[in-house]
Amino acid sequence: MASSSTSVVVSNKEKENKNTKKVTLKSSDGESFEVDESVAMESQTIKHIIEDGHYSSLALSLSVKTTMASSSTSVVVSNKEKENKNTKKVTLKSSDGESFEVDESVAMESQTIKHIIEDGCANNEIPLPNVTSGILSRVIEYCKKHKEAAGESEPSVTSYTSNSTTNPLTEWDTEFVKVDQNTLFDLILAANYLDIKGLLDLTCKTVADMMKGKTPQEIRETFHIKNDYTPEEEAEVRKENQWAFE
Amino acid sequence: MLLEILYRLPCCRRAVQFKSVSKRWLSVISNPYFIRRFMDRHRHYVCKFTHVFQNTIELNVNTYIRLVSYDHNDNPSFKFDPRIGLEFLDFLPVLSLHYPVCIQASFNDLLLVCTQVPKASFFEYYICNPFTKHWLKLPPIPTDGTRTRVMIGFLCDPCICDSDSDNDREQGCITNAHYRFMVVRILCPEENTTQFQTQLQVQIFSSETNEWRNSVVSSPRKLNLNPFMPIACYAGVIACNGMLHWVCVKDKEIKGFVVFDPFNDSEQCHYIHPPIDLSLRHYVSLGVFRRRLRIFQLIYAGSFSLWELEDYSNAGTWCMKQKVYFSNMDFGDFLQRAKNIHGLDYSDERTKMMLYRDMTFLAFHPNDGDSVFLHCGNSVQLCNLRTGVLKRVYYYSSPVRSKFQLVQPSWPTPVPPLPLNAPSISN
Repeated sequence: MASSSTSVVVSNKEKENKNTKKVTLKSSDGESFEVDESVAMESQTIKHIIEDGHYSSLALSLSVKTTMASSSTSVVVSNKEKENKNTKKVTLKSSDGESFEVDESVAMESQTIKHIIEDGCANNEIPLPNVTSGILSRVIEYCKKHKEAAGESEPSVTSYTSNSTTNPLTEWDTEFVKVDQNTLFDLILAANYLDIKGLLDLTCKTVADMMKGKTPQEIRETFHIKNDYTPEEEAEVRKENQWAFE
Repeated sequence: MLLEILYRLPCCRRAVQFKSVSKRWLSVISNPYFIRRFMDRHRHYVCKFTHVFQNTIELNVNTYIRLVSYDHNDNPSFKFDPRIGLEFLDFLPVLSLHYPVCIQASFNDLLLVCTQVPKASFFEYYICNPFTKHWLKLPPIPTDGTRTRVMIGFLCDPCICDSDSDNDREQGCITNAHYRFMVVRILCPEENTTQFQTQLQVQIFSSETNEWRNSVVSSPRKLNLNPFMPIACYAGVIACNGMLHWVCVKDKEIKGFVVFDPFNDSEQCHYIHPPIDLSLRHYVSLGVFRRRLRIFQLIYAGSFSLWELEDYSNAGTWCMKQKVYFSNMDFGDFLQRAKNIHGLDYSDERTKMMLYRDMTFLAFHPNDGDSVFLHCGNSVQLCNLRTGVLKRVYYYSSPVRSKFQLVQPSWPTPVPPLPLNAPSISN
């Protein structure tokens, strides 16, 4: 940390069109950070300055560089934001007994869970007997990521059938589904059971894409499906749908 | 779960191939509910389409057809192999018998083919999907030896299936899996074909009754219902929204349009006014674009105009969609080519007028609402009415007496239609 003392000016600006009072913190190398007053008051030092009313002209000597200032500011900001949000939590319990605590808003990405909560049937824990812990943790990861993205921008950006390459979630989604076949199918089942439209669409589309280049025989091999046709029956089906095979 | 995955496949061909994976897959993919989900997902599918040119309008042993198929970029593919006659339809067993045959109507990806066993006293009709090669034969209809001219209407009306969700019902249940159909034979009046007729003799086959019956159609307004009059005959009988439409002519002028809705009333016709700015003395062509009725009018050395019917009520509300003046049209190198070929010393204007003389309407582009296909002498041109640009698509010089546009939906129309009570599928 730099040892030179420089001035930190704390100025109070009241924005007319906002309810939250803002203050501007200025670091030693001249960069300004505007934050909610309530956020800034996480710092006892600043709190006293503001409460004493000396802020309009008082210069604080703070030996902090910009980066330090901004990081502590952002930490302060994010803590405060979390506190300001509805941080009601729910506990989801997987079939193998593991509990996961998540924000209620994240859990409500699942329509199934949403209905349970809204119906008032969720006490403290919501048991999910059809989902193992490994899958549940992934599902939660998906919901968190998509909830975050929805919160940061317009809700309409996260469209379930969006295939926009400019959508930053697309890349994350692509990585998310790079799992083994069994996991992928378990995710499909979980998404269906939990009624999470976006996840269902993503996982099913992934499997459909895997299928589209394959012949029926390759499909059987890849997905371990037993061919229950007799040779005559299979020939009959092929003949009736000859056009698709040409 | 299988259904959820499979309907997300990009094209129907693969999905149909997968019917052969296992019996369970067969039952999922064949189920009408699956088809509905598939078509709904592919709602914005750009249809492939094919033009079918036939050298006859009547039953003929020498019937010959040519096909031109278009891909997503409107590039045509076709073969000039003279042996391609009716091989397109050779899955129909009757064709191997070399009976007189004629394609008489089309709807989406279905064709209506008529044939007659020689010296026999009945006609046979087949409905077929030439892409899947599935067909069905209608009960025979006795011929009336005296009348040879008919106008044919082929109506398909998708059934709004009983659906579990209100959402589906609202969206109109996009599917071609269930439909009822009718074949309407409008018989030519006995004497003079340009006679004023307030009544028409028709023969109607309904898939709901599975039989033919005779009917007499009249109009409460005492209109001339005769579709064989020159202006009406040129435009033909067009099926749209489960109804037949043709031009109502009076004193050699267009009076309006006749609408015949046999699914609801097989004895009375309705009437719609012509668009206000339609030229009543010039020929028109009728067609369909995305289930809406359209009129195209080409006025020699004047303009090309396009109207669309927005509403059937109150004797019809039309909207002019496009109009382009002849002088503003860009013929591109078609003009230059014409000059080169004919060795013309004419001005551009004069050459244009010559080319114009040979132009006839072929079809509305199924995917582009602004464009129409025109037959121009020896070539087929695509005309964008918004930009006025004409683009040559291909040369075709054999005689065309009748033409059909087959449009392939995202899932092939089943023939026969799937029964409404299909067993429910388990995922």
